[in-house]
Amino acid sequence: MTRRKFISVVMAVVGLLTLKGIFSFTSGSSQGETIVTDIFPSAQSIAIGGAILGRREMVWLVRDDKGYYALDRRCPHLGCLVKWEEGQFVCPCHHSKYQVDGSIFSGPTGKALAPVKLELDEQGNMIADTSQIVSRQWRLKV
Amino acid sequence: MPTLVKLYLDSGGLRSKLGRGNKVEKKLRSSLLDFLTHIHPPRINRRIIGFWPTMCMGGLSFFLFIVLSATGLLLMLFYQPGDSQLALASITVIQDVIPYGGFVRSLHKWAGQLMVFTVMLHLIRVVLTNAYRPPKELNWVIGVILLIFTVALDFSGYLLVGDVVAREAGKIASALMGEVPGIGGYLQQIVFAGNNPLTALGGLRVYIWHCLFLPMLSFLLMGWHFFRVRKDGGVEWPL
Amino acid sequence: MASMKEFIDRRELTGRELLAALFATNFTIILALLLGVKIYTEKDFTQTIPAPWVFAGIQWLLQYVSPVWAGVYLPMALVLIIVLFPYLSRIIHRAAVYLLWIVLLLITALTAFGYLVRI
Repeated sequence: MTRRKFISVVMAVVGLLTLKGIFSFTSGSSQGETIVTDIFPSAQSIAIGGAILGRREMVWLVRDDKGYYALDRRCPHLGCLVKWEEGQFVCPCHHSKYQVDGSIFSGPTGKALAPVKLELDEQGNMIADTSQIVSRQWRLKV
Repeated sequence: MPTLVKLYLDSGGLRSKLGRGNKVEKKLRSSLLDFLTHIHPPRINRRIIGFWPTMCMGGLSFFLFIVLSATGLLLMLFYQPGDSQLALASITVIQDVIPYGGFVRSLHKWAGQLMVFTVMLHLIRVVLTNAYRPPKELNWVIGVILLIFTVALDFSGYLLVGDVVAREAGKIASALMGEVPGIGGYLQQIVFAGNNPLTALGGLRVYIWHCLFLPMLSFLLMGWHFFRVRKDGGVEWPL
Repeated sequence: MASMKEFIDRRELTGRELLAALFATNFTIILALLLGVKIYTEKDFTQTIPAPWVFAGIQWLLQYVSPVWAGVYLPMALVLIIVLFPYLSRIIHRAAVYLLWIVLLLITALTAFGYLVRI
């Protein structure tokens, strides 16, 4: 093996290692998932069959005749925030529609809206925690 | 128009104004204008430089890139990257408070939309005039990469505004990127610093792509693209 | 007369380019002043929150086709055809040009359609 060939091989290996290093650097992540909680200060005032947004506008609070429940506002299709339109949730990006309990009505989505945990704190506000999924029939009775 | 051209020709550079007479200097000196002149080919067929058949789309695209760089630099003086609420607030400041801020932002946005158009028209022109035939294939590939970069610059700029359309578009792009089989997660990390482009780090990452990486890579590729045009024989008649 | 020459030298070319740049600047400035720019809020949209116009076709397609196909495979396939066009043209000659035209027309039609139906 000549000196030229040896150096070429060494430089090639160093080059590949550098590329891998750059790749690892640019794809490094410094943070985990941010937990999103939302707060509903005026929760007691919604009518049965109505829905309101939390202060951060990330969760819908819905009330039916059995109690209260919360739905994560992010559309499971591609992440847009769904709107409330007369008894249905509609996604403004690709028009997925969900029924009042969050299950799929129509549209390109594959999953239903996620029902998330709802709790009452000491001041009487309701707090929703989108990192905890509950069953669709679960209700907070107040 | 011919009068203005004649004025420039007869100026002969700075030195001829300093008392060496009004002769048109044949040799180029070293002023900035002479540098720009040197980059051009020494002679070019008169019939090619009109509006048809090239529509000057290539040159217009480069010119719009210059306009975008200049207006972009001005916007960078006031834009706050990172958290989307902070970004939106800084854009509002630029539009409502800074004198001519709305105009600079408008110029930046519309030059960007125009550039996407001119680049596409340039592609169509190259196809119609057979300017992709050997030995110009590599230049075509460079051109298409520049097209992709232009669209990427357009989209990343769109995301930086931080208003509701930008936020939703960012989520869709991040979700679609995650759908790429296998490397989806890596792609999200590289492009958005995570799967949520609305975090501070995500916004900063998009800012770096839009203002540093993509413009520098584009400028480099454009230089190579122009060099190759001349090396492959220039814009010639007949096409 | 200078206008009778078949070729022009680089100084006149640069002069013409500077003039063209001047005209283009004015055109872009007038366009920017006429069209203006605004910041969008939730209240501006009743039906759809629009994607940027370049992706209007993909936005429309995502309503009916799965995201992998509409958002990843289809754009990649179209871009691949455009990138490899000169090499295809060496192999299948005229057919490559027709294929490219079909691809470009498809992209234009999708974009225009997606833009118009999303109001």
